[in-house]
Amino acid sequence: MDEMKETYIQEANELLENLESSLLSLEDNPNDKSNIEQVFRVMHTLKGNSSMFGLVKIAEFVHDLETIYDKIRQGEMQLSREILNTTLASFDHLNKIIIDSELEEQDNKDNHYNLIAEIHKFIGKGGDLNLSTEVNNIVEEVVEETIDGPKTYYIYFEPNESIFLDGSNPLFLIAELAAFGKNIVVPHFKSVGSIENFVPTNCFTYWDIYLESSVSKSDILDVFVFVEGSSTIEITEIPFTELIANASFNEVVTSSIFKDLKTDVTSILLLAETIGKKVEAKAVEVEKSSEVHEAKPTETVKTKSESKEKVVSSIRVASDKLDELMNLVSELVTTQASLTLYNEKNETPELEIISENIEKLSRRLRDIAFGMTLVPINNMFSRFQRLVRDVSMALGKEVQFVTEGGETELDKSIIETLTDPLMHIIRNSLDHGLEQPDIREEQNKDRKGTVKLKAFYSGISVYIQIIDDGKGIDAEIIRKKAISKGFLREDEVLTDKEIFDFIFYPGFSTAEVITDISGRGVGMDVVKRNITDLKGVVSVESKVGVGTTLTIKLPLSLSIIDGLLVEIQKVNYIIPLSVVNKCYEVENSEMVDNFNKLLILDEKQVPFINIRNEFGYKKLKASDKSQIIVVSDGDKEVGISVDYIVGEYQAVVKPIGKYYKNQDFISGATILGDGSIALVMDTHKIVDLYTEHVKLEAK
Amino acid sequence: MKTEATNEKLTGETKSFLSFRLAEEHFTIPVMKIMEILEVPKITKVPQAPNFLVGVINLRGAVLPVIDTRIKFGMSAIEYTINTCILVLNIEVNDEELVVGALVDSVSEVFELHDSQIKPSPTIASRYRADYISGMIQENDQFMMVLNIDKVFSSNDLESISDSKEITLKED
Repeated sequence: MDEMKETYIQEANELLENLESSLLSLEDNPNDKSNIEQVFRVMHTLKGNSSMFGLVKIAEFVHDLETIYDKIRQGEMQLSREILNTTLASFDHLNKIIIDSELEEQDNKDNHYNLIAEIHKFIGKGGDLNLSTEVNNIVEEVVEETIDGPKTYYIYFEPNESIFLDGSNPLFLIAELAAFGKNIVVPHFKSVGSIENFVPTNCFTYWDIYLESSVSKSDILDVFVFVEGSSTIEITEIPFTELIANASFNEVVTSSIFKDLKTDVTSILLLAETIGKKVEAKAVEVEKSSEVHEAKPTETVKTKSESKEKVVSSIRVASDKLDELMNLVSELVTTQASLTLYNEKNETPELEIISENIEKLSRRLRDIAFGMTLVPINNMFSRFQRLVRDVSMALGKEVQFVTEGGETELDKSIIETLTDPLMHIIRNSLDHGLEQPDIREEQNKDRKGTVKLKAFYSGISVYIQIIDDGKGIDAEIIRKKAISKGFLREDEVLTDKEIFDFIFYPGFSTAEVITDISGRGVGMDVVKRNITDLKGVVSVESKVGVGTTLTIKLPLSLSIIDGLLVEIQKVNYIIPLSVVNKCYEVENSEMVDNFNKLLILDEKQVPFINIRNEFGYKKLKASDKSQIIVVSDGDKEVGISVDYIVGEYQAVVKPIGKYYKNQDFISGATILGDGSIALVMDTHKIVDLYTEHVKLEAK
Repeated sequence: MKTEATNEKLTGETKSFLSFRLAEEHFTIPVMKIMEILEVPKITKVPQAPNFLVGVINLRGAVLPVIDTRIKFGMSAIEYTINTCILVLNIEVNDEELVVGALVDSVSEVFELHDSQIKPSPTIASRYRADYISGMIQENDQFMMVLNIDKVFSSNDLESISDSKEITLKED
């Protein structure tokens, strides 16, 4: 049962996520029919799931909520801001009660009944006639659904004259109805009129159908689903049974057969009263449960057709299974490396073919396995829609939230860890970045501020940017603040970029007014720490009056990479192939420590780093040769010197453990075919190491 | 205390310990903490690391950091002999399990000890940090220190030892 409940919660969470994004897009386009449909459908599925698991309180709650959207869908109600607010509040509430389904927490309980009252206000609201009949209908429907035994229905079915042209056959529909239970079908013929006006392809028949069955009214309506719009269908419930088998009843209703004579419903009811057996409503408790069960069959029918496409396109897999798959793929890649090595030593042509095939296969397997653990960042983006909406409302700011690159894929666990930091950054942008609408207008800016969330790939990294067009950050203010807090000496000269980095210092907040939303000075340092934990880098760019851009750079899921295997001081290193641009051979005498430390390669000046220097190894003889690997570092190119280039290598990157956390220019290690270890180099960090080194020397 | 020894025997536990040697000194740690004992394989040195971190090894597909226990204890760096070996230890730091290899000069023996036989360590005249030692035992007139390896090898101590971080130019 626990496992089932888990499944329920998992699915409910997904549905709610879905619901939220639909609701928010509904807010932007309140008249979008497809969105309303979507909201309704999701609620409907949630209701079905909840009742299937016996979570009556949730099911009832969603049912009420769903009723509002059903009405909007039918055009009987207009979507209003109040409705949306209540729905979003209900959404929050649902998020809580899917775990606390019995409303054991007092807060949830209070909230639950308050919201139900609010929802009922909407359902019962609006004095127009149309609406009140609808309410009656609903009441009727509910009553109907509570009765479990067989009932008698009188169905009047008059198809549109051109029904045959649509390819429908009314007799099939009647046969379908007849399958529900005992019945009497009484056909009536309309007058065909004069012979000149007679259209032979038209339908001139209408029917009275008396049906005794335990199906619900909506089941009967479902039969007519394709002709509903064009035909006249009236279904009346006769609260008596044992009519069909009754001879006198039979006689009366069939008396009008083939005649163009409409049956009077009230007379039928009167007749039924005299001969039929009254259907008794069952005890209240049973009613409730039957209502809940009632929702199930229709539910499954509806979702089946809907989820069919989804079933084909995706299945649910436990993430630990994926992890295991990844581990196996990693081991396969390692084993394959030993095979390749063995083959190099004992050159057997047959083995070489096999080994190459296995290499190809494992590479493809690797790519597929990796693709599975990645999820589009869009899932996270949609969560922020809500945040932006709520926060901007609370602040009285007008905000347009734009997302870009939602299809960018990231490791699922990374996305989860990123959510909180991003939320904080966006909150900051809304609170401190964007100005109030009036102020914006004064500055000739659009009243509506824009916050843009953008994701894209570059090299081995994924970039996520939060861009606002607000007032920007004044570097001078940050600088003064940093000095007053003692982070900076007054005579120190820093670039704007370095100054903006102070934002991430613990206990640094420039907000003059501390608000509910942000500005307590905790936060940005936590943001930075979270991102650093993911091996990411965060930086800020800003222009006063123009806006602020915050960039997060994250490594792609790096557990298996294509790399260049090189040797330095008899230790093997892997340089990710994705950053390698070109390799050159130079004489060590060329790598002199001149002022700029530049090498001329292909008539281009390239700064270089003598890695033996950085690692503290002895210099090589000037007459020997070194290999220069030109790697890209952001938009720059840097040459890195190594002793030898061994070759290309597919590396399974493993962590080297916390002991080496200060050696972050080594991002991991990999095991080579012969069992020895190669260290995976992070060239970006090597450049950092070098710049730090140079700075130290300058001091 | 001695009169209560029998009582304590009833309440305490008997555990297995392994003793090993660093230079001329003997230490012991609970066997429970040791996953295996390895001969010294090829060690890959990580550049710029503090000198007690001798490098990483391949432990059946996993990458295992190896520590020179002698340097960690303020002695000279280990000299590799036929008896030198690596204890693969499973330590716990801040509720996190960490596997680390510890280079020692040699391992001596495994023996059983009852809790009551472990004496509190003398707080004065100790060369080692008090929290590294969880007790002392006496065997054949020889004292042996029972190490609290969770403390000794916790990576958190890296910062406090970072003064030993120096660029090693001695190679080649």
